[in-house]
Amino acid sequence: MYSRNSFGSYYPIDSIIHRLNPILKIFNFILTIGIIIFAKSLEVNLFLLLFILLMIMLSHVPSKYYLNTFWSMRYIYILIAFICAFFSTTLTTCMIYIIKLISLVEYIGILAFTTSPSENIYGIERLLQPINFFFLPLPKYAFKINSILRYYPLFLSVEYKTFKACASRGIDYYNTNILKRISIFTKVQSNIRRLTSFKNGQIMFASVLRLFHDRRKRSNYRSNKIGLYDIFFTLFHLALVYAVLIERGIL
Amino acid sequence: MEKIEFNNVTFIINKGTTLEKTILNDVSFKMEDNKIYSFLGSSNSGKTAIGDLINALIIPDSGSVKIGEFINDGRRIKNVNKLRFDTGYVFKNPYDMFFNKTVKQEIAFGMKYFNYKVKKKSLRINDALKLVGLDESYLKLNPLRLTLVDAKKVALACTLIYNPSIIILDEFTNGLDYNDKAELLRLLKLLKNKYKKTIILLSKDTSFCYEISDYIYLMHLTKIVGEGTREILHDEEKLKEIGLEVPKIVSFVNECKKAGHDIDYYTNIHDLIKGVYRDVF
Repeated sequence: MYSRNSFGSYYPIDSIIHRLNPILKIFNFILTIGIIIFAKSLEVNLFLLLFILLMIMLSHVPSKYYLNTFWSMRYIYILIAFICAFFSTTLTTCMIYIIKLISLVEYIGILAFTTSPSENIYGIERLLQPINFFFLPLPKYAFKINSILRYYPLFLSVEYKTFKACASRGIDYYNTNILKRISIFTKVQSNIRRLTSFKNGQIMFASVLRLFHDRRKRSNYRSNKIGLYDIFFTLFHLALVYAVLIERGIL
Repeated sequence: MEKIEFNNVTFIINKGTTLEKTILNDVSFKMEDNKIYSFLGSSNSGKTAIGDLINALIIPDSGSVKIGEFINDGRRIKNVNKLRFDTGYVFKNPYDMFFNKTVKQEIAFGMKYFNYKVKKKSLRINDALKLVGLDESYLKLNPLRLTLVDAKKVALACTLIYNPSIIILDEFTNGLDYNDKAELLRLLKLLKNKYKKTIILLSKDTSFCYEISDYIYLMHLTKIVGEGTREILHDEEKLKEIGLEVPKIVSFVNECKKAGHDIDYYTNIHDLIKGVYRDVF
C-alpha cells in the first residue's frame, strides 16, 4: 500500500551520524568508494558491510527506510547472481559483488538520510577547495556531484509518487503479478527518469534561490565542527583503506 | 458503487519511529449517494487521509472503511483497481499525478494501459478536456509546465475520463480565481444533478463549500468536531476556534443581523443581493 514513507530524503533527527562534519562525511564516502572498488577479499567487504550496519544503527533512522532501499534493488541483486552463475564464477565472488553493491547503496542511503542537501554541497565544495589549483567553479561542481549522489533516492521517491498516481487511476503496481508489474514499469520508467531529472533541476534551482550561488564561494554557512566521532570514523575508514592496500600488496 | 462508511478509523504515519504522528483519530461517518460532501479543516486536520483511505491508497491502522462492496481494513482488497476506477481522486498537488510527456498521453494513459474499449478515444479525451473548461490546444503541452489552475483541470480530466461514480477533490479550489470557481461550481452541479455522482471536497475554502455542499464535516486536529448541513457554518465562533474562515456571505448576513436587519442566509451572492433588496429596502 502507499504509505507516506519517503525513501532517501533527509531524515531530520539528532544522532551521532547526523552530527558528523559534512566535509569528513564526504571524505569518508570517497574512501568507501575506493574500498568498494579495490577490496578483493570477502573478509574486507564483509567488514565494510558490518561497519555500514553499525553506522545505520547509530544514525537512528528507522531501519525500514534502509530496508526499503535494499528491497527496491532486489531484482538487480538477483540479476548479478544470474550473471555470476552464467559466467561460472565462484559463490564467493558472487557474494563479494552483491556485498559491494549493497554497501554502496546503503552508504549513499546513510549520506542522504543524515546529511541535508546544503550540508552535502558545503562538504563537497570545501573538500575540493584545497586542490583547486586552476580556479574552477567549485560550487557549481559541488551542485552537480550532490545531484548525482541524490539521484537514486530521488528516483525512488519519484517512482513511488508515479506508482501512487497510477494506482489512483486503477493501475496498481504493488497489487499485481510480476508480469503486469514489468508491463507497468516499462510503460512508466522513461517518464520516471525524465521526472527525476526535472525534479533534480528544481532542487538545484531552489538551492540557488535560497542559499547558494554556483559561481561564488559562500562564507556565511555554519556547519558541525570536527569532533571526536569524526576522527573515530575517519580512522576506521583509513584502517580499511590500509587493509585494502595490504591486500593488494602495495604496502 | 453505494455508500461510504468510516467505522472508528485511526491512521498513524511513521509508526514506531521518532516521526510518528496520528493523522486520523477514531473517525466515523456515513455518506449517501448523489450528494456533495465537504470536509473542512485547517492544515494537518486529516482531510487528505480521508481521500487516500477512500481511494485505498493507504490502509487504516484500526477501524474499517467501507466503500460500496469494498472494505479497506488492512486486509488485501480484491479487485482494488475496480474500486479506484470508481473513485476518481484528484491529488492536492496536481503535478504529483503527472508523469507523461503530454496532456494527451496523460489523460489517455489509463485507457491505453487497459485497452479501454472506447470507439473514439480522441473524442473522449476532447470531451473530458472540454468538460473541465480547456480546449484542444492543451493536448500537446507538457503537463508539468502548466500553470497550477490548468494542471488541476487536467488532473480532473484524467479522473473524469473513467466516468467514476465518486469524485474526490483535494484542495481543488486553492489558487482558482472567481471565474474558475464559478466554472467549477457549474461543473460539480452538472456532475451531481445530471450524472448522479457523489462528490467529496476536501478543502479549507468555506465560502465555496458553503455554496455547493449538501453536507459538511468540520475537522480539527485529526478528528471530526462537527457535522451537518450548511447551517453549521453560521457559527462564527466555532469556525474561528478551528482556524477556518467564516464564509463571506455568512459574515455579511451576521453583520446585518447585528445591525438589526433581518436577512436570511443565502448560498450565493446573486440570491443575497435579491434578498437584501427584498428584506431591507
